[in-house]
Amino acid sequence: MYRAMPPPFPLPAHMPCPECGASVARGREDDHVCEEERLLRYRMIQLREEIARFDDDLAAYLSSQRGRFDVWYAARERSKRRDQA
Amino acid sequence: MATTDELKTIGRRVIEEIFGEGRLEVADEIISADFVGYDAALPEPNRGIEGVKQSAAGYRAAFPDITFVVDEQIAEGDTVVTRWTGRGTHEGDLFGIAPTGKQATVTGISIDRIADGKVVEDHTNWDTFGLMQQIGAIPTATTA
Repeated sequence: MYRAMPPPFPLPAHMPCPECGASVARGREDDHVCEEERLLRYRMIQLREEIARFDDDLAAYLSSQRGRFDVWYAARERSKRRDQA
Repeated sequence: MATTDELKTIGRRVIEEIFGEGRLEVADEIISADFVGYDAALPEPNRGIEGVKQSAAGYRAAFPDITFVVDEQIAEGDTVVTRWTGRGTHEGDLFGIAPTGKQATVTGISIDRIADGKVVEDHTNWDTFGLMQQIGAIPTATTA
């Protein structure tokens, strides 16, 4: 006779809060309040690949012909505004 | 032979000072040069003082804010058993798993054999599976 098997991967006694990543004991989820600092740090780590990609993209753009021109143009515009002020 | 209190103190210092506080120099004081450590999570034993330092440094690199609490100790003969709970945030590479920022709480049991005031052998089993679930490397069942 078929007997239902228990779940293959039962939950551990603690699990991270899905919002801030803090370790929260099972059954105490309602008592948990996210700390702002941890929340921010957690989100930064989630975004680390995007941030790294942005840095790479920015560096590539700045070293391109168009990027070098834009940097030069922005510097010239700032200089003109300074002179007009 | 060390007293049971001395055995417990050495067992506690390994967990709290070397692994918990990252005071690797303590290994020079309480780990034997002939040390062999069997960590259930590692494919090969740790050997010698440097082996302990590398192991502690590796876990601390993955969990820089890691802390340990000793929950219970039993000492007999030349051996001390330490049941502990560790908690830390996964902010560095762990066994090839990129940082997740998730905080994990795991329990473990270390059995240390002491000779001449130093740990010569360690067997540690800890909740590797639970850690992997908590950092999302293994899926968890939500309902039965």
